Amino acid sequence: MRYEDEPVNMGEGPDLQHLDEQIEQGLRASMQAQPNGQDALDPELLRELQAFYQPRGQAFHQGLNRVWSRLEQHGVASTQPRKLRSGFAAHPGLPQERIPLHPVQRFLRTGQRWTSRASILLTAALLVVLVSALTVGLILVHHNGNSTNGGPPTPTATSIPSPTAVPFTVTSVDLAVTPDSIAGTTCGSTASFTYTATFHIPAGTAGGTIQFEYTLNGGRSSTPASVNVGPGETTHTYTFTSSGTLPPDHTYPGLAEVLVNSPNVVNSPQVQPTGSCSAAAAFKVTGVDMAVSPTSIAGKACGTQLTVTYTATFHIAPNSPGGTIQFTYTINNGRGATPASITVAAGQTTATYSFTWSGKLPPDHTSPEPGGISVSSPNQITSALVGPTGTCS
Amino acid sequence: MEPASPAAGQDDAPAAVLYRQHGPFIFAWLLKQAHSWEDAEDLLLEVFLAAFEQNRLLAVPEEKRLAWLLSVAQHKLVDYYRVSARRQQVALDAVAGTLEADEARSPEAVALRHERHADLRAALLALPKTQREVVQLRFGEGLRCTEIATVLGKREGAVRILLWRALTFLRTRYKGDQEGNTRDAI
Repeated sequence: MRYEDEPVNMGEGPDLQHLDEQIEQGLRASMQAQPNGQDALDPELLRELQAFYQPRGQAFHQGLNRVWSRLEQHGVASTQPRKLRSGFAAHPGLPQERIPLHPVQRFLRTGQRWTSRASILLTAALLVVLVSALTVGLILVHHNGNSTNGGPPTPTATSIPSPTAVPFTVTSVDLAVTPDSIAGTTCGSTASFTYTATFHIPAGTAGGTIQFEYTLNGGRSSTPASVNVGPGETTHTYTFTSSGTLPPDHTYPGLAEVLVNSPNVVNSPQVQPTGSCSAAAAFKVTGVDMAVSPTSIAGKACGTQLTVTYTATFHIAPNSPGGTIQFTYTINNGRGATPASITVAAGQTTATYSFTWSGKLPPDHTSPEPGGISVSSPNQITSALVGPTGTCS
Repeated sequence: MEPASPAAGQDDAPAAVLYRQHGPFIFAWLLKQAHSWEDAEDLLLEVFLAAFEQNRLLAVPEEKRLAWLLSVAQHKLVDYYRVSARRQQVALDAVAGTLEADEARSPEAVALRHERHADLRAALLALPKTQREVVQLRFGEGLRCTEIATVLGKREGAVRILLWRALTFLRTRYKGDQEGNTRDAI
């Protein structure tokens, strides 16, 4: 390993004059490149470094944003304050974020000596002369080729369209969520959301890998992911889901967004289901209906074995958070009671419970007797007593 | 919600353009000099308040604006050191772990990052301090070699060499470890 106090050898390594551009190129277009074991500008390494320093880069840009906001509060900026989409200052070091200097401006700003500047100017002048000469030559060749009458076809300098590789980039990202509204749902109930990100890629690329992160909570945390895009593909979708309880403070579901890190930085719009859940009402049993089967024993012979089913239908207040109904039921006209309970979910408005009496129909007509329900929790309420009509014969 | 920012390149007002052009460099320079991240932000605010006061910076020729800003930053820093000498300070390194953005501090983000980047972190720690600083300024702050050279007080060519050496070392050590791990797994 070399140490920092080792003398700097300017001839070390390859041409480092364009190291910045090489790094950016490596970060941008590296997905198709094969890793080279000897190359310090290995695209994968550059991406790893970018990802490693991403939190610091985000903090750095958030710091810049905070200062800019304070500057605006001091009235130094001529524009009206504008809301930035939350939390995602793009990672630094990418070309679209920096204002590229004009080559002349960059040239003037460098501290090069006049001899160096003169040599560059001379080189530029020579290049202009060379390009002009080539252009004139090509025009002449083209003219001669066209003026040949009756002879064999002469190759001309007309350029032949060649398949040019379109750089693999993501031009935009759409993001959609299903369901797109939670209006009408009850706070406290669970919900599941499916997010579909659609990446748009220019036509004619060689394809590559899109590395991105998605957030479901406005950027407080994010999950890395990637998709492989085939050659020529112009759109590619990626789906992720989220499930959870809809809280009364409406903090879920949050703002979702997709942030593409590579091959270039581009963010999707932020999406969030519209509407909000309704506040849960109190968990309350508003009524109990009773039904019995069979409804009549008329015509049946006394001594016949019979099963009578009593069915209670509990009615619960809408938008309730759900809970457990505790009650007793009777099959002997209230002389005895058996405890039972039933659990209902958030938002559920009805629930049923069945219980039975079995036995032989007595000749003294003392069975079956009326049955019913008495609710003790969450509130007290009693049903009517119902039983089969008629008597055995 | 984040404040408005010219960083996304949406604001073409002269002040926004100047801030976008020179803010990152001045901020990175101040981060290196100040005791804390918050102090660096305060100083950056003061520098640009001075710059935009009566459009001073716009009156400076374009090619001299960065030097002008750096000069103002140096003066602000001197004032800052003078005042902070009378106040108890905590070294930036001592609280470096708490200076990340909120999302970066979330437990899941930290755990994920540690898991993904344990080898890279180890390789970076094995770099000489200056090389590590160069890598951080390049990939964290996004500065170019010219700007890194000014921040570190070194020649631009030397910064390129340092960056090249660091990348070569990381390629050899970190990527070597990665490939070795892959082979072991196979």
